[in-house]
Amino acid sequence: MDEELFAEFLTESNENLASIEEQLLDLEADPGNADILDGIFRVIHTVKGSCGFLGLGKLEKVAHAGENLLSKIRTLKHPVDADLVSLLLEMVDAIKALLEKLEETGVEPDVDHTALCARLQAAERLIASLAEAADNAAASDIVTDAAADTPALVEQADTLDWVEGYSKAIVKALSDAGLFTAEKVVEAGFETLKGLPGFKPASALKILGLASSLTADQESGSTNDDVAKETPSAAAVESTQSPQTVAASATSLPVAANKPVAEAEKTAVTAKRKPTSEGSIRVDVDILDGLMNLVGELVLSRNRLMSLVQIEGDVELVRTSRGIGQVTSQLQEQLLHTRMQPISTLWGTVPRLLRDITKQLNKKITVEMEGQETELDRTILAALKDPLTHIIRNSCDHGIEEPQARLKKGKSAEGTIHLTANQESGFIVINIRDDGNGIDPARIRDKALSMDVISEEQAKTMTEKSLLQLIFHAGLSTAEKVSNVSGRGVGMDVVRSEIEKVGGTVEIDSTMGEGTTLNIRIPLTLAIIPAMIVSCHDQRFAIPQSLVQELIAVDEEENHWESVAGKPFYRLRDNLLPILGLSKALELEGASDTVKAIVVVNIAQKEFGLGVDSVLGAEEIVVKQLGRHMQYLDVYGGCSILGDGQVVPILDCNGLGKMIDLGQENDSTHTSQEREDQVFTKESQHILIFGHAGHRYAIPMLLIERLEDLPAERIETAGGKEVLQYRGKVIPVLRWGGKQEEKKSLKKSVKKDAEKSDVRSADRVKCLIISDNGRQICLQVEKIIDVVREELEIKLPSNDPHYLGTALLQGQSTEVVDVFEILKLVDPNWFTSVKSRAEDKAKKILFVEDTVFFRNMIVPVLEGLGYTVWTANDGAEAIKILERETPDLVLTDLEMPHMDGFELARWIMNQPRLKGLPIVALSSLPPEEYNKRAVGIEFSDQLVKFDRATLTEHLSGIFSHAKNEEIIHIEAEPVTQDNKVGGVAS
Amino acid sequence: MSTGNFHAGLLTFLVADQWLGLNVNELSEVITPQKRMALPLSPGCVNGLINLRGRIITELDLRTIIGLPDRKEEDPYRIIVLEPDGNESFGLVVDGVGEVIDLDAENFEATPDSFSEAWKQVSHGVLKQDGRVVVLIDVEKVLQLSLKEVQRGKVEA
Repeated sequence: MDEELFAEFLTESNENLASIEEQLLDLEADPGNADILDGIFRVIHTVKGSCGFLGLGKLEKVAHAGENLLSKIRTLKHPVDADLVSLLLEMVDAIKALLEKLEETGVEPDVDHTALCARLQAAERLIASLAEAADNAAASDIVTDAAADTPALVEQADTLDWVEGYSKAIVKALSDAGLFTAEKVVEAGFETLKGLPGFKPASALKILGLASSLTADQESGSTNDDVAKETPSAAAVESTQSPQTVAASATSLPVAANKPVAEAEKTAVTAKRKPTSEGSIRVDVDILDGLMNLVGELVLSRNRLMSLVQIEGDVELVRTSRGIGQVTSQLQEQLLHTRMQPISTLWGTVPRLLRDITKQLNKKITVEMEGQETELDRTILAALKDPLTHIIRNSCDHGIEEPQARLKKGKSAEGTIHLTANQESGFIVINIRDDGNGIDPARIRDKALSMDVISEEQAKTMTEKSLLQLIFHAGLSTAEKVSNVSGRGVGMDVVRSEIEKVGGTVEIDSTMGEGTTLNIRIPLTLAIIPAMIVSCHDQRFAIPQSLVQELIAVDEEENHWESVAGKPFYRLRDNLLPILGLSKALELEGASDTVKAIVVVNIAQKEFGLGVDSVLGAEEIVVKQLGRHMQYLDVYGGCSILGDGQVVPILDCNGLGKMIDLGQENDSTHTSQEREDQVFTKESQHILIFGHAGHRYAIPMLLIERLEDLPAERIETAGGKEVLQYRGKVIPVLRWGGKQEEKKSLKKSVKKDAEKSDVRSADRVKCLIISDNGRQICLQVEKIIDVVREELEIKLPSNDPHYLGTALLQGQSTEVVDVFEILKLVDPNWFTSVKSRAEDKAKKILFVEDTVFFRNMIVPVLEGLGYTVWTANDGAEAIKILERETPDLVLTDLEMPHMDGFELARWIMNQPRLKGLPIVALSSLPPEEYNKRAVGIEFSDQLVKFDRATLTEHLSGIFSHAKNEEIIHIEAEPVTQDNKVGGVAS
Repeated sequence: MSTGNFHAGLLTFLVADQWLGLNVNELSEVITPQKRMALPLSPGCVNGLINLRGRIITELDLRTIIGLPDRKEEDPYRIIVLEPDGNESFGLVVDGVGEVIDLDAENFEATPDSFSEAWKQVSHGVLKQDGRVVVLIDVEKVLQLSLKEVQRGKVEA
């Protein structure tokens, strides 16, 4: 058999079978749906045809039996029940198995499916006789109609109407070649058809299948009639020829008389599945892989080129190579995309899986999916297939309870498995959650103890969360019964290793009685990644940047080091960070403990620090596999070649993490990290919530320098005002309660409370030291409630100038304080006393920002610096302003509704009048996303929200250079003649 | 093993004063010493990784694999690049490289028993030609041997 034809056939058929399976399950849920039934019928018809054409008799037989059954169901409008679906699914499985063997051996296997065929036929006759019993009266009429119809059949086969559902081009090609009838097409054969204009191998095969089916049926038309003689009402329907004719005869049945004839024909025939020859092409995966490799090499060469070019410095060269660089990045990205498939491809197998399992276990379980369109590289999808099956099996077997048990607990009888997938800055996060009875950490602990996986000591101190993760240890199983479905609950260790193989992580979480959740995180791109290059003992290593949380230069003076149980920790902002010295881990020569820089790495929400000598910089690298001699080393995730031609190993942070036994330390010391259920959006920030007289107030943490708990006497009075001695300075004190009493809008009850809680007589006072540009004030409050990390969204603006408005924090109404107004309370000239750094006339800044909070924070700063500020809520408003006026600089947020900062920048760049206008981006987007979206845009600067000092500095820097009408880029590209001497302006 | 495989020619090379031979078809090139990156924690027979025109290949030391004493640092050497199964390329460090000679079937003999275990492990047979003994090297065996050390490494790691 022709290789290509064979390969095409296999792919086609597998797709078809998958489609049939899916549709059968849909049909089970919606038994009366004629469209689905038609769809299934059409597909099995095609399968039968192709099998027939290729001479695969056994396959054809099974498919034919199934097709007949479906046809009968269809025309008799027999309601489909679970048993029928099971039977049909069996047929699908049988064909699948036959195909598999066929693929393996190249010949049709010798399996005997006569039993299955017999059952299919029996079902067919049963349905027919049931219908007969009901329709006996109408039977005689129909027989005559059928007779009348048959001549029409032959006619139709002569024109190309039987090729319905294919493009005009194909029909034309066939008619041009004189291939009007099905027989002629079959005669012509695969090779000829393939060669016709507009024909791809896939379409050739399909048409052949269809034609073959038609001719086969016409020949065996007699057998159909025999069956018809048994059951008169079936006669009208037996023509399993082209779908068109079936529809025609179906409408002759009184039962189907409702639909207008023409419409019924059309809807019945139009293929649900668009012929794949239309909008897409099948490409051999090897070709794609080859392309990926080439692009990888291209990226390496580009890196090399860039580093050489930097040394050269020639302007034209720099510009051109940068152009190449951008195109390469885009090429790489789009190529990566070709290998991506939506996760629904993987999840599509779940309904069938569930159906089989639930039947076996007598449980009721359904699945809900979210994020099916999330895309993954196909190798990852392939790697996740088995783990997913394992996990679902476990959930069904050990997680979800039997219906009665569930009802007793007050749950619904039917259990649910939730599958969700979404993208999260460089990662795909997949969640599998069931609402079963959860996992008991105590049982795991006992089991682990008895199997010597953990020590007594550990058993006592481990948190519930860490105990749960033990489930991934090989050999652990807490299931009491061995079941056919999932064995001993073993497989979780395999699940984890499969996931780790593609660089992902998996974590388990569970609440007794409520359910279990599996969290899988997988890094997005495989081949080319941005990496951080570090050096340790004169050797360089690469760390994937997606895992790098932050970089710390070890302060030699301030000692942040701690030692817990002999292991080194670094105190980082009130958290203890476990540290792994790279030189020690890799047993480098001259191994010493002096760590000069720390790379904070985050794997699956756990952090640790990698101690190195220095951080050299970031570079995009192509990940290459290590040779087989080194694959077992799990501290490495591959290797690469840097821009200077040197080979560098890529560190695998998972492997390194294992070396410091992460589990426990992190859980016990990272209490503030435990709010993992919260989504960290790009606009979320640390907010301090304090309370006074029963009310809640909020101030962003970045304005607060310190929290103090002081003896009341520390607050002294000087010159009629209250002050505090703080770090060698005398700073003004503002009492929150005192300020409240001045407000006219104070409610009586609150006033009473304020009097009750007269803080002046308390022994100790809680203070917030608020700092701005080197000056501090002390704000005394009644109590500090918490520091949270949430999105600050003003739900209700306030009329009181001291407040920005009300926000929902921790689920409660909280008044957000406008700190700058507070500062002005202390000193009305707080901002204007800052020396204006603007030159001559005040510069005009167009500030584009959608968040009220940031606007209110940054505008005073800008005005205080002496700039004139115009504000806009989003890109669209900004454009309206820009159409009328020209500012000196545009300061814009990037994430905005209606039109975001990138689009705005692009618009500005296309305006000749605004040429040379500096655009500064103010945002907290993660670098990869920023780089991705900023392609083609030249921002003068990108600053993080909200760093006042840097903002001030950069703005004045831009303006002082703006005199020479240059545009300054962070990557140093001189533009004007004047500056050529300098070579690089910064 | 038939001598038929050696029709194309035999590359002779020197390791520890012993002449060895490789079927020219089994190697892709011979290169001079390259800057190598020593990979910490890698098995002993792996000298490091080298960049060969954009490909990263593992440099293996034949002496270490067979169990011969190490080469002296300052001594010159060459790297024979092999690609045994079309998947991964390796560089094999040898002391020096000789000429390509034709294999004369008459001069081919099985590996003598007198040879040390080390050589026996990797030898196809010997060629007694032009007054010298050339040991024909079985590349597959060399690789398998090298991976044995990796297995040991796995167990320890």
